Amino acid sequence: MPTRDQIAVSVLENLASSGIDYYTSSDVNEAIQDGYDEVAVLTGCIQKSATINVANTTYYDMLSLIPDYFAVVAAYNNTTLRWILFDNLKVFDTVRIDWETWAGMQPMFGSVSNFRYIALVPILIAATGTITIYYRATAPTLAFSDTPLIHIDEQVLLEWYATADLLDQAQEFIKADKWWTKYFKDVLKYKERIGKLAKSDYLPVLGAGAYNL
Amino acid sequence: MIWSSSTIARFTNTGEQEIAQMLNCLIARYSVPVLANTPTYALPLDVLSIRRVTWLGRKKYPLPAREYHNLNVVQVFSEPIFYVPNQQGRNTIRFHPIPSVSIAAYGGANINLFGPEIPNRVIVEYYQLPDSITTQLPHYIRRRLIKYYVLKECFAQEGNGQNLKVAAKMEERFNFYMGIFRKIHSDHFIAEMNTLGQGNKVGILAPPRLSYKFGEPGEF
Repeated sequence: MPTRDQIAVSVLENLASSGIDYYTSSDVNEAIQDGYDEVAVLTGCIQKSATINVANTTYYDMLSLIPDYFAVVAAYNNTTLRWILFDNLKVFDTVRIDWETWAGMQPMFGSVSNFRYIALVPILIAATGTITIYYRATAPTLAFSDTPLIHIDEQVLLEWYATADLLDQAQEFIKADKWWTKYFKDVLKYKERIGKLAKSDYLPVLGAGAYNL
Repeated sequence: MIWSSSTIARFTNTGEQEIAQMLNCLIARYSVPVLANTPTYALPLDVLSIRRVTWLGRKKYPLPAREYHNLNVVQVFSEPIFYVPNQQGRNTIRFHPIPSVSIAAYGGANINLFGPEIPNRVIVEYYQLPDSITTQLPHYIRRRLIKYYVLKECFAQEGNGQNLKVAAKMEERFNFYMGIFRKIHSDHFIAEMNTLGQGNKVGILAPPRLSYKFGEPGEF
């Protein structure tokens, strides 16, 4: 699997810049990191889990609790052994006007408020217990010998992104467009693939909307 | 240096604000210092639009000024049911009926109006205008989006660095990335979407499907 430095070598070869000081190593590394950040959030290819404590609060600041949090996929209450049921905030409003202060039990329902906050209700005022959050993560910072957390056959995306980005930097837009097209065509295919992982192995269910990713 | 760092910082800030106006993504909360018999209150200057108003945890509903006047407004004093946005200038709200009690605002160093203070305060949740220092666009898109915005503005500026062709190309890239930002936003943060029934919900969030025996002794 290619490391960041090996990807950088390929990028410089694409640009016919090996051994030439036209692009600095920080230019190349930043372009690769930008590509990595983008592929991670566009495709959701890095999925993790973390456990948070149930607190006396309606909204949880996920970015403070989980630094590489990007978006929630599911949440599991380890005390009640139930999945949190996610819905729209507007649906909560139609159920009861004071849902933000609904207290007394372990959280059962959830809603995404924005990229930072999720709401979990009811609130447990004497808070105990934990919730496991399954989430899509942002990309970690790549060091020189790190390999990206991307499927091995798609790691070339970072090379294409960085090549296009550096050609833009040199104002070679027509050449850059060729690489951008290649990159975006493939990254969208990869996004679809991530959504369909193991799809063929799921049991058929009625109303399979949950898998329409 | 063709462009000074203060020019770049200025474009960064205007870019951040313009993007936040195009796609509401930042939210903040403000605790309103309610005074008995006082209907109208000023809101913070960084309010882009009101998202939610709660009175001691209970939702209040927006009322357009035209409908407010249709109520043939008589001076009623009780817990408000409605709020009228922007009635006396840009960043004000007016409660109707007029509040009959005073409720102190919640301040202090660690203001957290997303938690235990909700049942004790009158809270306005709003889409926020970023200041590029304490409030910024989502980290997952900020760097790439702002980069293209700053480049398009810098290359369009009068002076040595002006290059309108490059500026046009950067604008194209910026618009493309705004599309990506919108797509990520609508894929992941469905709470902001209006849905009719349950069927048309989109995005990656969906209730997990469990075994019909889930939760029974011995089943996991």
